[in-house]
Amino acid sequence: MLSVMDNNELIKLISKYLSGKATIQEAEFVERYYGHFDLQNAAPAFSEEEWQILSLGMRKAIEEKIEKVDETRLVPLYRKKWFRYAAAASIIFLVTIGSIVYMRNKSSSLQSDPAKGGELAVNDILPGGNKATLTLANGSIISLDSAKNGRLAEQDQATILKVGNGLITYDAIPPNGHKVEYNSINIPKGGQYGVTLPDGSKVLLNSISSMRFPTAFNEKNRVVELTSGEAYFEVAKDIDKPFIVKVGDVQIKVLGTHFNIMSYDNESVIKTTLLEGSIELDKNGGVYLLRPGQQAQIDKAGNIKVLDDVDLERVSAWRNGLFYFEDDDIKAVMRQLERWYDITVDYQGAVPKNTFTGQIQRDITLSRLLENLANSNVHLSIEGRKVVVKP
Amino acid sequence: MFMSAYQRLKDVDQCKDIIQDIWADIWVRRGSVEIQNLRSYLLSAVRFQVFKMIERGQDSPTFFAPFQQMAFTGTGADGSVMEKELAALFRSWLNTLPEKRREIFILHFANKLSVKEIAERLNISTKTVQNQLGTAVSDLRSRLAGILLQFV
Repeated sequence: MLSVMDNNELIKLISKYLSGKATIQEAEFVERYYGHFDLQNAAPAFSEEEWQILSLGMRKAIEEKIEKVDETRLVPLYRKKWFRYAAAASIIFLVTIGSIVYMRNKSSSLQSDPAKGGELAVNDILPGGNKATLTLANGSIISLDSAKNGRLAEQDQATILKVGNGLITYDAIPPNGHKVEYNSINIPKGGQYGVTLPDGSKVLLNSISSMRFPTAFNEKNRVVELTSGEAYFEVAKDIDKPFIVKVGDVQIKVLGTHFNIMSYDNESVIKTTLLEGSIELDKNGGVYLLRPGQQAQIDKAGNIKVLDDVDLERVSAWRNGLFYFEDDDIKAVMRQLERWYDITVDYQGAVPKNTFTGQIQRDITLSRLLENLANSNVHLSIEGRKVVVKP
Repeated sequence: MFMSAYQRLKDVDQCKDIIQDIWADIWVRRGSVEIQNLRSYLLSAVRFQVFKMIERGQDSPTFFAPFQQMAFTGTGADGSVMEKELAALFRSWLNTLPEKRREIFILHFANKLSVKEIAERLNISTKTVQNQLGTAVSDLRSRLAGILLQFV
């Protein structure tokens, strides 16, 4: 086979994945890559007879292994020969059942991961993960975290598929009418989720965010509404059909580009940041054109300010699985933790005046993250689902 | 379990090792391991072992084949289900790359520009482009021809 792509690249990604250091994009790719093989024809590769030889061989090897393991331990009961054979026999039984069940149920997802054990300290809080619910046009609600990979729902104009951990995709069905149906995706505290829209545009939503969108776009434009929270958009190019994101009375019009919108109720401004391409921001007729690297900030009073050369790494840190603090005060830091760890914060005594700068992985437990923030002026403790901040 | 590994490795001995290791490991940890869903536990154990095997540098042409193919699927817009998935896989992989590298890869594989054309367009040296593309060489077309022959 000619080697065009460097296989070492794949090995590196898998290695990162195994060590838990992969970004969301990397983990998404690795899982999708592994799942790809399930699409290929599972032609029965062995005859009945070959299977028998194979399973007998494996059974023998497993028995030998177990015997060896047990000889190095002092566990009297298990040393009895009959016990070992009985155990080995039951394992073989399980192997068979396991493979039968597996063959019958090929497409479903993997939930637990035995590779990532890890003890959790008492009174610790796990980081957020891929959590969301989807509300269909008929009002039914699907929980995406527990859904298996594969077809989730058929609607008039699209099929919804769960294609990996934390990602769903809309496959458009050729239109058979003019009815427009809307779905919405809602991300709870401590969640995030990705959607590939029928036009191929990708949206990654952060915690406490929701978006309403049609299951198929019409001929003129592609309109979605970010009803709350934060989202990163990678809009598929289609010059004839502008992509419009509505955020309250603000409209953001794009032709094909990458940008991030943050619109949390408890943050003072709505921030729209352009990473690639160009976008047009329209608020009650006032139109602003953004260039890459610019950020438009709209405060509660409706005033718009455009900043140049904002730190793009900071804006997309959440998408890359990071918290990114830069001269942020404790309240700004805690607002981010509240959303991701699903906690509340209690300030006892004077609010510490320290500021925080640095990047931290989002996938660590709360206690580990707090260890990194605490210092002689800031004391942090976890009580149930509450973090207490003391000077 | 065996087929799940075999589908990815197509090597009986490697798969046998994987299955045997998993069961021996469960036996060793029989006191401490708590399994809620046996099927998904076993399948993710297989996944973990397959990844481990690849990480250790085991040669497995089957496992790497889609990685090699995915760059040549174009947009996948009008292909088969398989081609679409390969194209999606490629896009998903592009997303893992740093900005500059991604741009070079897209120009090379999707827009089919040569190393020289990319260097001119981005105003960087051909050497840089070649380094970024890794083992891919400048004459994409001859490679493409070779690959097409193998899959016809």
